[in-house]
Amino acid sequence: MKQSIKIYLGAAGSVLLPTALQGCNGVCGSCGAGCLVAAIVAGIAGVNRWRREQQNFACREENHAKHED
Amino acid sequence: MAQVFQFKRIVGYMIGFVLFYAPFALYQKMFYAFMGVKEYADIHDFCLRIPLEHIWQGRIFQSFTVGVFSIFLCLAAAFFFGAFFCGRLCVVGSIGEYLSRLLPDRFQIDWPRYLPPVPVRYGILTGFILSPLLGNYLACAYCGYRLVEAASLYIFLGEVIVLPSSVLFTGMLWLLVFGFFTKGGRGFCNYMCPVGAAQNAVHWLGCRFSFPWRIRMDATSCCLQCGKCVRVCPMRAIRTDGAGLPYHNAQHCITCMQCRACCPAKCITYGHG
Repeated sequence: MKQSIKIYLGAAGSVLLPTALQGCNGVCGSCGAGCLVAAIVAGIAGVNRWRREQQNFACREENHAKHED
Repeated sequence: MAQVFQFKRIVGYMIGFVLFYAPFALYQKMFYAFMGVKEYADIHDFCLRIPLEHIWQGRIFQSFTVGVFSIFLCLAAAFFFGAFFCGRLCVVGSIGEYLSRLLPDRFQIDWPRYLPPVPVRYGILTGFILSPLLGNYLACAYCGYRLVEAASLYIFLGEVIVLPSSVLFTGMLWLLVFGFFTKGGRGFCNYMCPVGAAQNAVHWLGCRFSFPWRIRMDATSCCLQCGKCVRVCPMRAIRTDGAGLPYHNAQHCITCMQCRACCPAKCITYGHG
């Protein structure tokens, strides 16, 4: 299946599927709140990973400089 | 010249705010005055979901509302002139766009590079159209219009509107993820707004004929390849091909005319034919 058709069906499903689930009327927002928490956790994890990479990079640079000396 | 153009755009959005949002809602009030009925006017009168629900229920002509009239007006205008409502009047889109100008480009994401907007926005539109068949209306949870109206009522009347918690998610997407941190700041319009998608679909159909007006780009004869049009397009509807020449996608252009205003070679025009 073409990638664009998959995206199209996914986007249509993102509106239709929660609507089809019994009891969901888009008011309680538990899914939204869940996504927000997930986004915050992912953001913190992303920042931590970036920091680690920066530290590793600095270590590599330092080691590289030592070897060159 | 460019400053005058930008000033006119801001005035257009302010007019849009006064026309559609409570406590002003002049457009709805004018409509009710013309119809000779006295009703409280707010953004929900302009909502396109309610007439859609009426269409599915087969009673569209039994309740001729502002929403029904607006659907035909918006779509007819989009067919002949492009999605002017989005480009000149829509406050929701403009807030994201102006917010994104506060952050330098290098910190922002160019979403259309990673996720094509056309299938996403038309997928959401399809879901929006079909959702009344399932009995519930999730679209209300994703509505940026009522967030603006809630803010407006709080600022002008001091009224506090109780909103569902999903609005937190919508607000975060609209103002932060697809606004502040997005190149152009119109990510919400590009991916999530069914009003803009419906207008663009109709405008794209109009572009199959010669008489509707549209953005025309004469890239092969006079383009300087400066890339200004690509950078200023808030919808990221202008891209460059392999040879560096820009091309324009009518499926998500909001006819804001910023590309035309900034083109130094005047290659971009607005007209029919």
